[in-house]
Amino acid sequence: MRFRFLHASDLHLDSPFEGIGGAPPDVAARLRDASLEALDRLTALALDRQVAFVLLAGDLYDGPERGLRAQLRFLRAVERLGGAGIPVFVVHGNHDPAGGWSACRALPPNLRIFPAGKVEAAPVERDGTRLATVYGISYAASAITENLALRFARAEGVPGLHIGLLHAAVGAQAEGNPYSPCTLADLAQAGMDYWALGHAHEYRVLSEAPWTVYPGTPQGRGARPGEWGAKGCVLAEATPERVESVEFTPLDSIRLVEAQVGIEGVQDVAGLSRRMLGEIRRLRETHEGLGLLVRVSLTGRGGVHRELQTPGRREDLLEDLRDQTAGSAPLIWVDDLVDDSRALLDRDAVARRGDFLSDLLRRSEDLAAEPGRLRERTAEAGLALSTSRYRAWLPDRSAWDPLALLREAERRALDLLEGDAAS
Amino acid sequence: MKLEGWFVEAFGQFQRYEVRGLTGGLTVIAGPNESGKSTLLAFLRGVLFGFPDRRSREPQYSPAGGGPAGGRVFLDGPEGLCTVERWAGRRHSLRVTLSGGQEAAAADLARWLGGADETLFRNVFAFSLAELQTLQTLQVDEVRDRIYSAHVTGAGQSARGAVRQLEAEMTALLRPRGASRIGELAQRVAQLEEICRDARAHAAEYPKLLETEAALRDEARAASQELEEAAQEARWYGALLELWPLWQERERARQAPAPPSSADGLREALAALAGQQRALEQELARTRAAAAALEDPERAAVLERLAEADQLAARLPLYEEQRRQLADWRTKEAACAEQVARVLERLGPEWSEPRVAAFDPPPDWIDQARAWAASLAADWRDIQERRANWERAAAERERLEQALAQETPAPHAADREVLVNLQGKLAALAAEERAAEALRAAAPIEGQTPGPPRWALGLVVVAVFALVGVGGWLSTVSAAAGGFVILLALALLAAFFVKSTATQRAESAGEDAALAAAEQRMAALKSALAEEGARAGLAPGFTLEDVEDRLREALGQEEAPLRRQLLEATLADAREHEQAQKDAYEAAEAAFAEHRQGWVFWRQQSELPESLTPENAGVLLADLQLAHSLVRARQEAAARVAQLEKDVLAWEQSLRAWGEPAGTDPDGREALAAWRQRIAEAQRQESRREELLLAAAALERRLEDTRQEAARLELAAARDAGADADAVRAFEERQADLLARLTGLGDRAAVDAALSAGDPAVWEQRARAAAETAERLRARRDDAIGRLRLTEERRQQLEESGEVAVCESQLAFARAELARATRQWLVASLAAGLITETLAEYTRTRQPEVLREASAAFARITDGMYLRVAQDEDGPSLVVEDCRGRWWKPEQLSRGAAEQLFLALRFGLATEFARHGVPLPVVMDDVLVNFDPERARATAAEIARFARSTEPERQVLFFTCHPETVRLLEEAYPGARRIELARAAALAAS
Repeated sequence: MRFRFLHASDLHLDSPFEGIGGAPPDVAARLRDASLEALDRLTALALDRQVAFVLLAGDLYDGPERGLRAQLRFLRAVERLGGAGIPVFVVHGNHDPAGGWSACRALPPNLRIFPAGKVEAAPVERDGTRLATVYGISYAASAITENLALRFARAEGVPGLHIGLLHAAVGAQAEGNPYSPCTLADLAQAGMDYWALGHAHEYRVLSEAPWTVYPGTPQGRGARPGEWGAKGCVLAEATPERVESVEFTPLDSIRLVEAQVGIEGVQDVAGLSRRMLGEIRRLRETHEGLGLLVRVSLTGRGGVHRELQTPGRREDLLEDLRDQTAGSAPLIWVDDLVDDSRALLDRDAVARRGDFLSDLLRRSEDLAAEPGRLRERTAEAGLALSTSRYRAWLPDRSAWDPLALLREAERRALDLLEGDAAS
Repeated sequence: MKLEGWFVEAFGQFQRYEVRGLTGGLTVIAGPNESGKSTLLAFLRGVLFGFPDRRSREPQYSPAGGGPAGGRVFLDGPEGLCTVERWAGRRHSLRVTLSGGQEAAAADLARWLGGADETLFRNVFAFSLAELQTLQTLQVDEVRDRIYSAHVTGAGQSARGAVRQLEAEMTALLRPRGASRIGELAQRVAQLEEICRDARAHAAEYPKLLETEAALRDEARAASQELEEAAQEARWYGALLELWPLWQERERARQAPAPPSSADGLREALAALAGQQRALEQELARTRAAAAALEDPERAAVLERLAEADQLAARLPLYEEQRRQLADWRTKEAACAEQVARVLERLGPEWSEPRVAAFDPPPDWIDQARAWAASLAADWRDIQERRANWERAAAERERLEQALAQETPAPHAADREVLVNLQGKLAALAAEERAAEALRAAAPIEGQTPGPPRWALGLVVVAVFALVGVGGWLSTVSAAAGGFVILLALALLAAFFVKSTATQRAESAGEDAALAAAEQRMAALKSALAEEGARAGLAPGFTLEDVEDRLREALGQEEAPLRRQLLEATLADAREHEQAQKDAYEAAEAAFAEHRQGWVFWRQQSELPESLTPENAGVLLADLQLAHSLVRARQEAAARVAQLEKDVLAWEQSLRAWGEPAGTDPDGREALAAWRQRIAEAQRQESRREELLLAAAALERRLEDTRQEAARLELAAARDAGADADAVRAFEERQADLLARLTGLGDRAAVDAALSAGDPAVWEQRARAAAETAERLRARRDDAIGRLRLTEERRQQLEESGEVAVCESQLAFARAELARATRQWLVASLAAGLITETLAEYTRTRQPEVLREASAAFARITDGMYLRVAQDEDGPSLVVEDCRGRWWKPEQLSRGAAEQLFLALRFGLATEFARHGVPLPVVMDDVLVNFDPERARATAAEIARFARSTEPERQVLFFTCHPETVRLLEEAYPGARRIELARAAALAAS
C-alpha cells in the first residue's frame, strides 16, 4: 500500500520579518501575512496530494505568547485537514514550548500534540492497516540541553513505518547547545525509518538510512542567510515498509533573494541604478509568480565606490530603487542596499606601500590575527553603547562577527583616507 | 619631484615672466627689495595648491597690469614633465597636463606632491621669515599628521580630518544627551515593545474571553430559569388569591352542617349546649376567684428588686477582685511617687511634677539633641583645624614673600655670549702670557754681559788673590812657575767667556722677536678685553675669575627671572591658598554660628530651658522622658486607685442598702440572701396567678364557642341548600379554568391543599415578592445577555485582529533599523580607533627621527653651542640642550637661535617626509636675515648640505635680497645657480 506524508517545521506563524526595516504599511502587511499564506499553501498541498498524514516538527509559533491569529489560522487548517481525514502530528520546539496559552478549548480530533516529558507513540491506520507509528516529544521549555533523541526507541514487532518527530540540532556541539543536541548516530540507534526533524530553516537531507530530514521553514522571514532562497516542506512517498523518496516542495509566497551587483565599469550613480534594476528584473523572471524581498549587494571595485561613500548617497539610491519597483505585482521590496564594493584602490598594493595606510592595514591584520584582542577592541569601541542610556534596547552585539566589523571599519578608514584631492 | 620652472602670466608685478630649466641642488634667486621674491613664493604656492580666496586676509597680488592672476608651474616628477596651471578667482581652474599633452586629475597632482596640502607646503616646504619665526606653524595638526602619515596616495583628507568626520557621524548617531538617530530608534523600540506587550496581553485574554463567554451564557440561562420559577410562583399565588373568595364560599357551603332533622332535635341540641354553657360559667368564676386570691400589691415591689439583686450577686466576684486590685495599685502609686521624687530631685527645682507631666519630649528629641551635640562638636573641631590650616598658609605666604624680597636682580646684566667670548679671550691671553713668560725666561737680563755666571768670575778673582798671597809666602822659583800656570788658566777662562757671550747674543735676537709678537697679541687681546670688559660692565683689570663670576652671575641672572617668576607664581598660589584657607575658616565659623543658631532655634521651638546645652541636652531629655513617664504612671495608678475605690465603695454602699433592714448585717450580704428568697417566693406566687388567669381565658373561649355553636344551629335551621351548590360549582369552574390556563400550577389537589391552609395575606406578600424577584431576575438575565454579546464581539475582534502581528512587525522593523544604526556607529568607532592608533604610532615612531635630524643640523649651525633637540616631556613644545647640558625652551632662546632651531626642524621634517614619500622642493624666502655672520655662514653650509643630502640632489630655492647671503650660499655650494631679480623685474622680464 503506497501512501505519502507531508513533513514541515518551523512555521513561525504570524511572526514578523526580522532585520527588515523601513517597509511601508502595505508591504509590511504582505510580509506579515506571508507565514500564514505558507500555512494555507501547506494545507492546500496536503489536500491536493491526498497525504496520509502531516508531521509538524516544532516552532509552529514564534514565541511562547503564540499569537491568537496564528493559533486560529492553524486550527482552521487542522480542521480542513480533518475534514479530509488527514491526521496532524505536532511537537513543540524551542520557540513554542509546551505549556503556552491555547486559544482552543478543545483540540480537533485529528490533531495530536505530543507532550513534553516523555516520548509518546501514535498509530496511523488506513483501512485497518497500520501505515505508520509516529513517535514524538515536545520541548517543555525554550532551552533543552538534553539529547531527546536518546529517548526514542522503535517498538519491536509493530508493523508500518516508524517515524520520529523531533525538534533538535543535529550535529551541533553538545555543550551548551540548548536545542536538544544530538548526532546522526544517536538518531540512527533509535531504529526509526524516518526522522522528521525541525529547527534548521534550510532544507537538508542529513541521511537516507534512516531518512533524516530537515524540511526547513515554509517561509523565509529574516535577514539571516538561512532564511534566503526557496522555502517549503517535504513530501515523502512511502509504503508501510519504507520511505521511498522525499521531495522538497516550495511553499513560500515571498522569497528572500540577494541581488549581487558588481560596480566594475559603472561610470556613475545613474549607471549603477540601471544595473541594479536590471538585476532585479532578472530575479523577478527567475522567481516568477513570487513576491520578492531583495537585498542588493554591491561588489567589486570601481570609481563609483567613492560616490557611494558620500553621506546619504546609499540611502538615496535605495529609496530610488524602492520607488522604481513600487507597485510591482507580485510584490518586490528592496530591503537593503549593502555596499561591499571597494575603491579602485588595490588593498594588497596599499599594504606594500609602507605608508600610513599600509601601517593601518597592518594594524588591522594584527587585530584580525588575535581574536581575543579583537573582541576586546570591539568591546572597547562599543563602550559608549554599553553605557548609553539606550543600552537596554540596543541589539546584542555579541552576535556580530568582530572580524566582519573590523573589515568594515578598515574599508571605512581607507575610503576616508583615500579621497580625491580638492581642485 | 622638482620645480622645473614657472611662467607667470600675471601676478602682482610680474607679467609673462618665465623661468625654466631649474634642476636639483641650490638655486639662489637674488634681488633687491620689491623685486618680487615674496610675490613669486606666493605664486608658486597658489598655482600648486590654490590661490587665497578674496575673503582671505592673505595678499591677493592682483596683476599690476590688470587681467586674471595666474600662470603655470612646471614640475619634473615621476610621470615626467607636467604643467600645472591655475588662475586666481576661478573655481575649478586647475589644469594638469602631462608632457604628452594628456590631462591628469587633481588627484594625480596631489599624489605627485606626496599628499602635501597647502598648510604643509607653506609651513615646511615653502616658507618665508614670517612662517619660520614660530614653532606653531610646525605644530598644527595638518603638519603633524602629514609629516608623520606622509604620502597618503590619492591625497585623501588628513587622518585627523577623517577621525573628525567619523566622530561627527558617531555623534549624529548617538549623543549622550539630545536627539540622535540611535536615541530616536531606541525610543521607538521601547514604545513598540510597550505596545506589543499590551497587544499580546490583549490576545492572551482570548481563553479568558471564551471562559467568560461560557460563564455569561450559563448565567443568562440560570437567570432565565430562575425568572421562570419566580413568575410561576407569582402566578401560583395570584391564582390562589383569585380562588380564595370562591374557595371560602365553597368551604362555607361544604362545611355547613346538615340542619337538624327535626325541631326536637334542634331543641335538644340547644339545651345540651346551654348546659355546657352553665358548667363553663361556673368553672370560670371559680378560677377567677382563685386568681384574685393570689393578687398581692407588695409583690410587684419585691419582684422589681429582682434584677437589682441578681446584679449585685453577680458583681460579688468582681467586687472581691477590685478590692485585691485596689491594694496592688495603691502599692504601685506609692512606688511611682517615690521614683518621681528622686528624678525631680535630679532635675532640679525648676522642674515640678506638673511641669514634667505637661512636658512630653518625643522619643527622637534625644537623638536630635545628640545629633546637635555631635554636629556642633564637629563644627568646632573643623574650625580649629581650619584655623590651623589658615595659620600654616599665612606662615608659608610670609616665608615666600621674604624669599621674593631677597630675590633682587643684579645691578649689571651682561650678555652671556659676550662673557663667554671674554672667557675665551682671557683664556687666550693667559696662554699668550704663559708663552711670553717662557720666552722671557730664555732671554738675558737687560745690561748683563753674556757668559758664565757672575759667581764664576768672582771665583776666578778670589782664586787670583789667593794664588798671589800663597806666591809671596813661598818666594821661590816654584812660585814663578805656579804664577805662570795661573795666568794661563785665567787667559783660557777669559777666552771661554768671550765666546759664550757672542753665541748668546745671537739666540737672544730671535727670541726677542717672538716675544714682541706675543706681547703685541697680548696687547691686542688686552685692548679687546678692556673694551669688551667695559661693555660688559667689568672693572678695568678684571680677571678670568671676575668673568667667570660675572658669567655665573649672568647665568644666575638669566635664571633669576625664572626663579622670581616661579616664586611669584608660588606666592600667588600661596596667597590664594591662604585666602582659601581663611575663607574656609570663616566659612566654618559661619557654619558653626549657623548651626548654633539652629540649635538655639530648635531648643526654643522645643520649649527647652535656656540653660540646656548641646552637651547636657541628651541626659536632661532622657531624665525628662523618664520623669514624664513616671509621673504619668503615678497619675495612672492614682486614677486607677480612685476608680477602684469608687467602684468598691459603690458596691458596698449598694450592699449596705440591702443590709439595713436586718440591722445586724454590716456588709448586707445576709440581707441580700434573704431578699433573694423573698423574691423567689414572689415569683412562684405570681406564676400561679398567671396560670389561673390563662385557664380562665380558655374557659371564656370555650364558653364563646358554645354560644356560637348554638347560634349556628339556629342559623342552619334557616339555610338554603341551593346556594351552597352554586358556590361549590363556581369555585370548581374557576379552578378548572385557572388550571387549564396557567401551566405549572399543579393539579387540583395541590391547589385545594394550598387553599385549605389559606393565608391570603401571606399569599399576597409572596406574590408581590415573586413579582419583584422576577423583575430582578429579568434584569439580571438581560445584563448577562448584554455582556455575552460584548464578549462575543471582543472575541471575534481578537480572532480577526492582526494587532499583535502588526505591532510585532513594526517592532521588528524598528529593531532592524536600530541594529543597522548601532552597527554603523560601532564600525565608525572602530575605524576612528584604527586611524587614531596608527597616527599615534606614527607620531611616536617618526618624531624621534625628525628630532635627530634637527639636532644634528642645529648643532652644526650653532657650532656645537646646542647639541640636542627633544620633545618637552611636560607639553607639546620642544626643548634644546646646550653644550653645558642645560635645557632651554625655544622662547628662551635669542631670536636668531630660535629661527635657526626652526629651520633645522624644517630640514628634519622635510627629510622625514621625503623618507616616506616624495622629496619636495624647499623654497626659503630670506630666512638668514637675523643670523650673525658666523651662524649665517654655518647655516649656508647646512643648506648646502641639505641640498646634497639626497641622490639626486634635493631642490632648494633660496630667495634673498642680501648680496652677503648670496655670497655665503655660493661659497657653501659652489656652482649654485643664480637668478637675478631686479626691481620691476616683471616688466623687464617680459
